[in-house]
Formats: sequence, structure tokens, C-alpha cells
Amino acid sequence: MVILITSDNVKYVVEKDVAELSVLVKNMLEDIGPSDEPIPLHNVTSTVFNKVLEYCIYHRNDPPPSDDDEGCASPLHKYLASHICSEWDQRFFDVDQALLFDIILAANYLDIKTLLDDACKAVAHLIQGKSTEEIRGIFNIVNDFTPEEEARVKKENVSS
Amino acid sequence: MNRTHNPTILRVPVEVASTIFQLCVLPISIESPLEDFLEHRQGVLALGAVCRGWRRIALSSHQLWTTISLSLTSRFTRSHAPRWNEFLARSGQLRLSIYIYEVPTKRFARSSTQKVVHALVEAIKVHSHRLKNVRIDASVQRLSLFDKIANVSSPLEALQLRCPDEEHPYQDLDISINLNFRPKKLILYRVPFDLLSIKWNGIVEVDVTWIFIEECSTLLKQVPLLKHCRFAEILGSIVWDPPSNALVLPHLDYLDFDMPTTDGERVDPLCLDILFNTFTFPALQTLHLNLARESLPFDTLRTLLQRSTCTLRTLRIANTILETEKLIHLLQGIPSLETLTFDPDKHSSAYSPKMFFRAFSKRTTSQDVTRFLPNLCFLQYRARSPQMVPWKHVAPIFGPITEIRQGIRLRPLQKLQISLVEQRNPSLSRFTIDMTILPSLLDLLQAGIDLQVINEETGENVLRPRNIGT
Repeated sequence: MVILITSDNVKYVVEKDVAELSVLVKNMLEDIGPSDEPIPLHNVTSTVFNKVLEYCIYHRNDPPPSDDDEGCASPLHKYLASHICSEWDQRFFDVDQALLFDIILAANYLDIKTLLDDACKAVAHLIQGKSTEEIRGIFNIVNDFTPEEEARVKKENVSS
Repeated sequence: MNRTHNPTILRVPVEVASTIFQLCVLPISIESPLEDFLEHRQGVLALGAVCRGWRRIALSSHQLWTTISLSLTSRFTRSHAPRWNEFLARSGQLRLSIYIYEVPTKRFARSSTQKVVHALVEAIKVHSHRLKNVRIDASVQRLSLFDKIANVSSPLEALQLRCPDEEHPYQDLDISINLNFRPKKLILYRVPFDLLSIKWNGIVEVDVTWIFIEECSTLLKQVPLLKHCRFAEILGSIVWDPPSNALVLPHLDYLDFDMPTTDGERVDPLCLDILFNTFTFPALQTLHLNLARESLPFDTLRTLLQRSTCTLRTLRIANTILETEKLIHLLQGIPSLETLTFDPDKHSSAYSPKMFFRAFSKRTTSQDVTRFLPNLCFLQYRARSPQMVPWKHVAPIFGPITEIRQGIRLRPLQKLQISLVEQRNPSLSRFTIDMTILPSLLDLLQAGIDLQVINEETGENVLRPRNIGT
């Protein structure tokens, strides 16, 4: 078992194979060797870590993600090559935007590639096929272009 | 100003945001339909138009700009020539796919478009060293304007040129399409082959629609590395003299001749004879022939395969006039065949389905070394109606049922699909099959043979109707 402590001081006792889905934790465990010392997760709160842990437990037996071929390194190729999110994943990512981005930040910090990829896909799914105005609405963004910038952008977006 | 001053996506590292952006746009390839290119472009441009922060991420995501589509007739293309360079530069040093198209309904003066094309060519030429895919959908006259688009022998993954369907004839045109590309894959759609000049020697895959038969030969002679070849809508009846020694295409493993033309023009059957006599394909594994109701040139094809000493694994013959004896003789010479798809033309008066099916069940010597198609794994037989299927001779193809149950097989044939085409009766069911024969077919299913009788109209396997289950 591995002891992990989140930034808000909540202690988790996690099975080693689950904890080691995080490359960050795996590397730290290798660095410190056999020890009961808790591992601090400075950038992750317990609220977010609960979700991360839920994902890691569910996906603990998944085959490891394959390394990309050099020639297929683009995210588009990764997107095509990757599995379609399961119903469980779709329910898992059906959370408010703030938490979804917190999960992305946590996955990036903890270096959990599959979680990061799946969370990015979940955000992309919100954006796909939407117009600029719709995207602004979804993410509550106000257009901050100057009139000159706006005119330039609009010209660029003129379609055939 | 931005209401939040920090849109949520800007909280994540730029490389993660960039990944999200790339996942948002529709993945496309050089063969995607026009609508997909438009959707892709609109998706990319929409991301960069949300706010300053999103635009910063979009512009720094080089991968996002590696596919550029431009309409020759769009207001943007015609009025913002100086900005194309900026557009093209957004992909950094990554390889670039460019798709240029002309919306056929929008006709502009030739002189005006000429200026646009020349400016575009100048802009693209700067990046020619990193071009990956180029596709141009335009009239022949417009295509000829792109003649300086590439520097000397620019290597490409794929080049696709498409001319509109309605544009004919080309004989009076005093132009050439001189593109200095050296593509690996070449796709031509209704492009006059005799006007085209590219670097042929690196091509490994061609897919040409609308080509004169002698041009097929001209093309094949120029592509020594060719592996995959498809010719569709083959035209003409001009006969040329084959060389005294057949030319060898050592790498070609896939060949597809799809003769029918949209305007119904017929090909002189002698042309195919001559073409087959011109070449040798020692690596050929897959051969697809759709001869548009012409007779299969059995003797030439047999000679070609013998001369090539290839290991043909897949053969598809469709829409072709056949003679049973010659067909069996031909197939006896291809013992390596693993997949046979077979769709005889209904005007094949010398073709007997019964005799063809019986060839499979004929036993020869005890050694059985000359068994018909000894390596066949999959047979697809297409028939116009249930009456065209010799039902009585279907089960014997696999051998006696007692032997099948013991795992003894005449050949590794595991799947037989009988497709009933032009089957207008959607109520076709297993009861359409002779009731005295049906039990033997069901026995095969029980013995684990994948036997399917497909009504192509409904897509249903009538031996396993959905409402009965397994």
C-alpha cells in the first residue's frame, strides 16, 4: 500500500498498482525505495483526487497505452487510434467544467496519460462542431478582441 | 475585456490546451470529401476567433495549421493574397497538407483567377520543401496554372488532382499540367493523363479514374516501384503494339481494373489482352476485374499469371462474361487462391453455375494433389436470383457432412457467402431455398461453417433471420 497526502492534507491509503498509474508517484516510489513515508501531492485537492482515484481504480487493469510511432505522433492520429470512451468514462466526465479542468490539471501533474487524454477528449467533445459564439457561451468567455482585431479575425473566417 | 479574465481553458498548460484544440477539429485525409475540409477549416478558425487567449493558443499550435484548404473562388482567397504566407507559416516547420478547390458553381473571369492562382503558387512555393499532401480540385485550365508550384522534384506523400465531371473534351486544349511533384501516392479523377507531367519514379500507389487503356500501359511503364494500382472508368479502343518482352513490375501486389464508364463507353476487349501481354507482375497477390460485360480474356490472364509466377491470393471477377470450362481451367492454375469473389454477368450464356460449383466437390486421386482451389478460405458468390444458385451443389463444396463433423475438410474453406443481388423481394427467406436442400445447409451451420445467404436488398442473412436468432 502507498500513502498519499493531498494539498488539503487528506490522507489516502492506496494500493500500489493503482498509485503507480501516476508516473509521478511511480518515480517518487522508486526514488525513495521501500518506505512508509507518505507522498505529498502538492497540486491536487482531495475533491479532485477522489475523482482521479475513482478513474485509476476503474482502469487499473487496462493495458498500458502504447508508445506512439514517431510518424504518428500528432494528437489527431492519437485521437483516431485511441479507443472510444466507454459509457462509464462518459458518466465519469459528466461533471462541471471547473472540475473537468481540475482533473486535467491533476492528470497532467500526476502524469496519468490515459486520464489526461480522456479528459482532453471530454473537453474537445464540448467544443466540436460549435461556432465561435457557441463556444463563448459554453465557457462563459467574453470577446476581448479590439475592433481592429475583431475585423481581422472576421475576414479570416469568411468562408467560400 | 474578458468577463473572467482567465477563461477555464487558459488554466491548463499551453501544450495541453493545444492538444484539446487538435482534438476538436475533424480529422481529415487527402481523400476526405469537400464538406469535411470545410468543417475542418471552420473548426480551426472558430477556435482562433473566441478570444485573445484562445487565439494565442490556436496560433501557437502548429499542428492545427498543417492542413490548409483554400477555395479559389472564395472572397478570402481572392482578397487576402498577402496573408496566405502568414497562414501557411502557422504550421511552423511541420509538414503541410494543402487542398485547393474551385467551387464549380462560382465562375470567375479566367484572367482574375489566373492572378489569384499565380499569387497562391508563389506563396506555396516557399513551403514546397515541407509539403506532405497536395490536392487540387479544379478545371483543366486552372490545373495548368499551378505549373510552378513545386521546386525541383518536391517529394510528396500524396497528390490528388480532380477535374469536374462535366468538362470535355480536352483535345482542343493547348495546355499542359506540369507539376514538379514526386508523390508516393497519386490519385487522378478525370484528369487528362496525356497533359500531365509529374515525377513518376517514386510512386507506389495509383488510383486513376477516367483513363484511356493505352495510357494505363504508359503509366505502368513509368512506375517501377508501384505496389497498389487501381484504374477505373477505362476508355478507348486504340490498339498499340506490345513490346516483344513483357515489362516487369516487381513490386505490384494489388491490381484493380474497373472498366465501366459513367457515359457507357465500351473498351475494345483486345486492349485488355494487349495490356496483360505487356506486363509481368511477380508480386501480384490481389486482382480485381470488372470488365463491364466484356468477356474475361481467359487465355491472356492465364498466361499472365503463369508468366508472373506470382502467389495470387485474392481474385474478384465482377460484371464479366464467363465461360465455365475456361473459368475452371483458369482457377485450376491458381492453387494459391485464398479468397474468390465471383459475380458473373447475367449475359454469360456459356456459364453454368452448376458446373462451376461441382468443380469444388470433384474428388480426384487418393493423394488429391490436384484438388480444385486447395487453399481457398473464403468464397463469395453473387447471383441475381435464388434460381441462379445451384443449391444442390452448395453443401458438397465442403465435403460430406460426416467428414466435416470429424474436422476433415476438402480445403480450408470456412466461409461461403451467397449474395442475392437485384433481389427486389424483401420477404426473401430461407423458405425460398429448395426445402429438400435446406437441411444440408443448416447442417453446415451446425458444423461450424460460416455459410451466409445474404439478401443484398435488406442485408439480411436469410439462413439466420434476426427474428429467429441463432
